[in-house]
Amino acid sequence: MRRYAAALLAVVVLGFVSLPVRGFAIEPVTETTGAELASMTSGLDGQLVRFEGEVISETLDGGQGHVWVNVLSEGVAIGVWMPAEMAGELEVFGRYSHTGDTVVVTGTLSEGCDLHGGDLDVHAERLELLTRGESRERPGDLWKLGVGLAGLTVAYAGWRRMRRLADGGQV
Amino acid sequence: MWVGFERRDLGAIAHYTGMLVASMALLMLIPLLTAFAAGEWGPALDYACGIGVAAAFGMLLAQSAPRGTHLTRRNALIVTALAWLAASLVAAVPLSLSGHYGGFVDAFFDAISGLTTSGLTLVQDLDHLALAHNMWRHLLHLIGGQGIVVAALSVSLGLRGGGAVSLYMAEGRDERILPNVMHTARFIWFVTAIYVTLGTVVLSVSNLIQGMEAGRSVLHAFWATVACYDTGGFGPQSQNAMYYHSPIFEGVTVILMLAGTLNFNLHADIWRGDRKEIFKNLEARALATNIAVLSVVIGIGLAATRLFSTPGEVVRKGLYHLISANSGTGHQTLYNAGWANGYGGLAFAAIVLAMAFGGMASSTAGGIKALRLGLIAKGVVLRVRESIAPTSAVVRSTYHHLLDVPLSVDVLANALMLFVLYLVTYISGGMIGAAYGYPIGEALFESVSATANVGLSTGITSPAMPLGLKVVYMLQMWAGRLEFIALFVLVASAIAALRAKRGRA
Repeated sequence: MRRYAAALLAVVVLGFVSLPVRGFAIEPVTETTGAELASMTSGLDGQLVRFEGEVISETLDGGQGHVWVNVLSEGVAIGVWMPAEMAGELEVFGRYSHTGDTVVVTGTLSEGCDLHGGDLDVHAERLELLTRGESRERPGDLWKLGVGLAGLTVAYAGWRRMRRLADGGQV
Repeated sequence: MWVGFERRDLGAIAHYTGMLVASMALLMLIPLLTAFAAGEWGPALDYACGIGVAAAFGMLLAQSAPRGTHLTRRNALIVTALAWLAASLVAAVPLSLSGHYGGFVDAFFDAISGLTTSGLTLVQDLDHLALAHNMWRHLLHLIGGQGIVVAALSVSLGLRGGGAVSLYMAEGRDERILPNVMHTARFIWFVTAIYVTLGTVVLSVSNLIQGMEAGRSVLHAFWATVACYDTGGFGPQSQNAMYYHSPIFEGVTVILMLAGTLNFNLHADIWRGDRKEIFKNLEARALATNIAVLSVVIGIGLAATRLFSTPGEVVRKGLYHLISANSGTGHQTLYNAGWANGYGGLAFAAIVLAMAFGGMASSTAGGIKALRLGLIAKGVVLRVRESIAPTSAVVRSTYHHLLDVPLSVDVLANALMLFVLYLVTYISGGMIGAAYGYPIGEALFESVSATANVGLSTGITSPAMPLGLKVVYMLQMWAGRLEFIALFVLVASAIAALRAKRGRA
């Protein structure tokens, strides 16, 4: 009985090791940034990568039940293609008035993606929401209005002087 | 003979420069309204300040002479050269107040880049820039692409009479599509309005289908249309055209880039129903040959890298960037760093050549221009024919550009002179970039991009680049847009004035 059990265990272990199924295989993930991914010198083409960044776009239609999300990481934004349900948690995208959701993307880098016309992109396998985006405070400086009004006053005086001269009047 | 300046010359120059600068204040009302509509109160104050500064600066300069003052051809060239600088100076004010630039110089760089329709940028954190500032950056493309003088003429900003025609010609525009320059200026805007409206509508629909919010869809569509039709290259997002992940976006922008690089006289012929002209025209033929040959080169270059697995990818990426470079637009669907590291030497060379050659004359495109290349090629053929013909034979050549024109020595000399000037500037800028420690290939790419007002970059152009190089690229963008002559007239006149002053002393 023990022999049978040992043989069965050996078969199961060998099966796990040899099966070319991504779900079972342990693929190394490289921690990286958007800047490195777009450098074309990362050597990560076709590999599993993980990077953190801010969502800076709405979820854009990506076809085949997928969406595009642009993620800004260390000053460089990367297009991430993912199943629509994966992006369901995203709510806020970065723009003037808001900082977008911060996410960690795990996916495969393509420096020239065959599915997307040769684009450099990442096909996401996992998306984690780190922090929810929020509105940004952008206080205005009232002195700028003062300078503007002073300038307009000077310009108006100049324009009136030119009009008087054109009409043959005295300055 | 060098003619010195009299007080009235300086007065006339200052007056017209001032009027053109003041027109920038009026145009800043558009981003101001955008800021109000979007509830961007901080940027609204930036534009309130900018309007005041531009209006005051312009009106103070304009006091130097009465309205309608006569402007000689030389003075018109000087006004044109100065106006591009002075307009950029005031255009930079709201940008520098945005908090998205390292300082006034960086904002000034972007203003010059915008007005000259170059597209190189030093903006920081573009993805969080206000809609109002993006509106202004793209409006600069529109104003600069049509020409500051054309813009001012169209709003009839005190430029009627004496100075209008001189200024119009001095801006490097030779179209006299209609007998009156005011009407011609308006016709140019009319053609532009048609393309901009069509482009905005189509791209808005595309953006909406993609899932963008309605307001952003329309604004992004308008900006992309303006940036492509005016061959500018700015984008509202740091990814430029890559942001949209849309083949429709790419297709429409390619059409707009091609339309933007078309000579306005050809637009007029098409408008009048004479479509045959485009097939007979030397300039159109030269541009088509240029694009065809370089497309093959870039295709071979990209295929050789094995980065792209299918011919479709090679064609899509190659053609987009070639037309972007040739038209002087600078829109891109590839990352900057790739030109130096990933897309191979042959594709890199094809892009540099396409940028250097440029689009058509009397369009918004920059570079040497297809007409000049066509004329030089005709000149070479003429020379060969002369060499093999009997000594008694008289060999003549003609070319078709709107009319059948004999190829004269003057025309050929002018084309060759500008070819050499562009070449010298390309190489000089490249050498200066190399002197700052950048690889010579990348430095040359950037230099050509700046001079030909393209905007593609290998990544050298950034807020971190040395101040000296920023100044060099600003000068190159300015000189390239003016096609050198107005700039030379300005420098020569300044020297003549200094000599006269010393002589009197």
